[in-house]
Amino acid sequence: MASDDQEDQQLRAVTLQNAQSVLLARRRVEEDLRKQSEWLRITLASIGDAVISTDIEGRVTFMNKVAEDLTGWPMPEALGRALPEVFHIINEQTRRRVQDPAQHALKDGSIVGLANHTILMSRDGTERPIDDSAAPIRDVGGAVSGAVLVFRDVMEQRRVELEHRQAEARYRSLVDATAQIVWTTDPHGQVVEDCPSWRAFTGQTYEQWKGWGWTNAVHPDDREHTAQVWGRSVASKSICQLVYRLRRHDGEYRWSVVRVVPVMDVQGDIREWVGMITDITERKQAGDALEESEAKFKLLFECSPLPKWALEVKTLRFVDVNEAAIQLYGYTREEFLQLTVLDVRTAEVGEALTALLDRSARHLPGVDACQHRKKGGELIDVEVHLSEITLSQERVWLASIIDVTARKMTEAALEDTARRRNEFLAMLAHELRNPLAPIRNAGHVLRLAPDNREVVQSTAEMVERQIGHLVRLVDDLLDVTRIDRGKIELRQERIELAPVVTHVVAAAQALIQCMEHDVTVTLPPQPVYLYADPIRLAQIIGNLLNNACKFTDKGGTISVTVGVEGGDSCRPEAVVRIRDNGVGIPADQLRRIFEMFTQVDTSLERSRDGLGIGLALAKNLVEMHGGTLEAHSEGVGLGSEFVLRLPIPVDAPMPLPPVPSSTVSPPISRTILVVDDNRDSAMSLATLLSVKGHQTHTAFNGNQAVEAVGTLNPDVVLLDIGMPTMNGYEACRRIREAPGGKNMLLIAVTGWGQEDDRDKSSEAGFDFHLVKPVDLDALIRMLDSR
Amino acid sequence: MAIPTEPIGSIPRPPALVEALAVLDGSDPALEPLYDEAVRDTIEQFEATGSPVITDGEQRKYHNFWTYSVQGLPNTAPDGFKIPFAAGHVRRMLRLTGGPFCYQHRADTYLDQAQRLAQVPVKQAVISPSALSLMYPPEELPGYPREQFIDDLLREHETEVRACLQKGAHKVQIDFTEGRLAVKIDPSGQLLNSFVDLNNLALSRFSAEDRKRIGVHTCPGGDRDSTHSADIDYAELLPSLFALNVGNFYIALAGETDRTRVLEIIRDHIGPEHRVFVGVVSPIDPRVETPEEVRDRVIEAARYIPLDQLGTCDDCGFSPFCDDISTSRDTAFAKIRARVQGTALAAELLGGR
Repeated sequence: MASDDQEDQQLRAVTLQNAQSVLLARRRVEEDLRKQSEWLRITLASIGDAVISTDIEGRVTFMNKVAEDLTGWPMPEALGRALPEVFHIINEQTRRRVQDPAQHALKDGSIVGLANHTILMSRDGTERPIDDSAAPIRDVGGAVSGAVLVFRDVMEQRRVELEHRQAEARYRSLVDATAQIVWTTDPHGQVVEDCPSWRAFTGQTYEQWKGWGWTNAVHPDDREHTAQVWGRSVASKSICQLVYRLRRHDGEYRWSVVRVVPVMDVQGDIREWVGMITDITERKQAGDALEESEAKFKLLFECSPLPKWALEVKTLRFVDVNEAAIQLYGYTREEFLQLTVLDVRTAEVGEALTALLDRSARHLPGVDACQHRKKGGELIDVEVHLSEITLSQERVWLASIIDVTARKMTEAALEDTARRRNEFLAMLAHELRNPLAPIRNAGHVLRLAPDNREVVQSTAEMVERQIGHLVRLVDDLLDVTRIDRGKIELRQERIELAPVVTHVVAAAQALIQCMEHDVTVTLPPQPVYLYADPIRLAQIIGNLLNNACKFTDKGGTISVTVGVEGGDSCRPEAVVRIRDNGVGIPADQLRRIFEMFTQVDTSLERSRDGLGIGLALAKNLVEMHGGTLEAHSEGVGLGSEFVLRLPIPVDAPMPLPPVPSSTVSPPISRTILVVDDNRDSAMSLATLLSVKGHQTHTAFNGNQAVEAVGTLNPDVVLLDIGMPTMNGYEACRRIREAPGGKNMLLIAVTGWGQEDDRDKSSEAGFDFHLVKPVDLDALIRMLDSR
Repeated sequence: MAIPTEPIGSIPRPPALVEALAVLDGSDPALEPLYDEAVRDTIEQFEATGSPVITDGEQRKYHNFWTYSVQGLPNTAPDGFKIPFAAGHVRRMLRLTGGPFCYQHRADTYLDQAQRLAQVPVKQAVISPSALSLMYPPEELPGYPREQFIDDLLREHETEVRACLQKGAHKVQIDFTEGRLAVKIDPSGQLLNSFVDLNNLALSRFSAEDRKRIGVHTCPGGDRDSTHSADIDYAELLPSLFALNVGNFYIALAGETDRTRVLEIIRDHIGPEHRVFVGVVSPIDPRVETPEEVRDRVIEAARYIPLDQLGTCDDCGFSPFCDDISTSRDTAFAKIRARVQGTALAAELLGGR
């Protein structure tokens, strides 16, 4: 038993200790309940409605603050009082006391709402319209143990409802007064009310328009869409807006914009729909025209071959560009739309953009001559024609861009050409006067000392030299025009290069000696054969050698080296190098040295002879031979080297048979008629031929020539072409037709030296064509040919 | 007017199961077929008695009605306090050795199987929080204060009861057999009041509607045809018992020597929201009551308890401990049948009155 007692004591100890824990737990639960109760009290105090609770006897057990305010009873005073004493309500119309809903709830155990038009009489006699309801409070067993009464002051609500009614009345008045069609439907979108303005516009009767009858006045093509949109709005309770054609009473369909809005009641439910219809036919027609106009503009804009932009007026941001602009600038359309015009226009060229825009805004011509930068950075010269227009109801700058880059370059090139031509003409005059002066002096010398053989001899040599110089000038000029017109024909044949070089150097001896240059010529050990025009080749090398002499100060060193090199295509080339220690060529002028009318540093070298066409001529002739001509120089004062390369033909034609050495025969005296309207020319030539042992006669026009032939029957007639009364061609034909004329040697002697001129001479019946001034040796060879 | 009648809970296990349980742990998987067969046969025989409400006979409760929920917990020891029975034997409870406390088994899992097999409503008995509160030892467990244990205990109990309610148990009966024992141990009533407080804390977690389906069972214990506290006067227990916030009370009455006195106490303390199921058959009495005897006991009770608040039940489970074979299954079902028939006879008589 002692053991059992110990067990019991232990058990008691455990249980009592547990009881302490249970007590703590219960306190926590009670605290939770207290908090819940407090929360409930605060909640009831915080809600906007008034709350009064009662016990089963209908005595007040709780009131929140709102209830205290509305009834005028502080809770401490109200507690325990019968509810009707605190909550005193009367009927609004009868002013008789009514039973409060809590009494019903206590009695019936059900939730009760009070009838409308109830007035709460507060303790101080203030009357307030209220809404209220009551519910029974049940205990854990479900038995009714009290009631809770909830009520609220509806005075503000009554005021809102009154304002709402007044607003509605005002709205109705507006509807009646407005010129637009204003109509209403029920919450489901059905027309249930007459609308005089609708009837007046459409001519429908109310019977025709009510329900969905109104859709019959809508254009058949718009009817289905209209019904769908309206149906969706009703279903979604959202504003409906659409445009349709509505038949007017006279049968004409009028474009109408319709806007229907839901009207909510106080509870937030749709009470009705109000629609408003506005006739927009005129507006729409204007809009259509504008739309069409803008469409045309857009087409022109897009299809224009001129690059075009549309710019936002304020920001100058691109709002549109056409395809031509995209092509010109290299930006995509999307890239353009991220830019402003300032991203394209350089600031360095053209007037200030603001001034330009200001002028354009005042509708004055606005042309922006400036430079633009393409996407890749390349600059272009442009003219931008600006005008301000309205596009899609927005003011924009319309810009048309003309790319004038090529035109500017052409203008610059033309200006340069004109400048060089003027320089050339000045140079030509200078070059022509230079030989004329010594020739004139020679005339004076001969007149003064005609018997001084030594003086006469040196003067004659000087005159020949100057005339040779003049002839070269004229020949070069003629060759230039031939090359320009593609009229030069090469008379290519197999020739050896070395003799040509030797001949050219020998021909230049006079100038070389004059300049006291030391000229060395190096020829290859083996002959180098070319397929070339020997005269033109001599002309080329002569030009280069002449150039070296002129542009090397007196006593200079010039080397002429002829050789064979591999060439770019591994085919052998003949190479002629003419090197001097002269003035040299600046690096920046090397590229232009072969351009027509170009001389190196003309301001310094004015004293050098030449027209600036020799190198251009030489280069053209070289290229006609399939060769190249290059200029090299280490710089000013360091001399120059010109390198001529000509292809050596692999299968060159067989060498011509050696020309048999001509046997020297004694000169034959011939009867020669010299015809020229320039008497000095005719007389001097006749004198020259007389000196050579011939019998000479002169005539000074074509008629005289024909006549003289008839009387003289000459062996040879030298005929000028350009003569008054009868030109040389006509005279030639007449002479040929005269007796013995066919066998006469007829030689044209003229200033016209073009191929055409030669062809015309041949056609007229001339045997030979000589260009003034006459090369005496050539003339003698012609005379000897008969 | 029908008088509701319900069983208390346990039915003696079939011998095969009892023999197996003697050598195997209650959670051994090898027992599953025996458990299943025992439940199936119990429900079949239960329904054969005509009882409008049945149980699964607590065939799966191991080892007994008191410790089934904590059996197998690792933080327990077998040397809990002792319950001495009048017959001289002692049942020993488990002792908690550390926190946290939680159930190992919940009674709603037994309900699941029974409901699948039963054709009639099934009630479920669970152990009270006050009974399990005795697991916490006198000395404080390190790191696991008593307050935390009480919180955990209440949570576990609430979870079990709520699960049974949600699964559709006809009633959830809280076994409060320790109530009368508490008076025996502490005649001052302090122990009993602390038990009531603890159980009411648990019950406060349920709604009034839930509590209409919750009941409390009290008896002087019943094991091997013996009680532990039959000598305690109901007068010391019942006033406190009715303080429990439940809708139903299952009070052992058939085995009482002075039933009238007990009924008078009930009459004096029953509340309007209460229904009292009085015991009309006694499991510890090996004799099977006749329906007429039961009928008379019901009529006797009806003199003190309003008929619409009266119900009948067995005094106790027929085998609260799984190894109790003092009563046979046949006897148990025969007694149940007598309860059902006798209650019906009484209802017939009282209804015609």
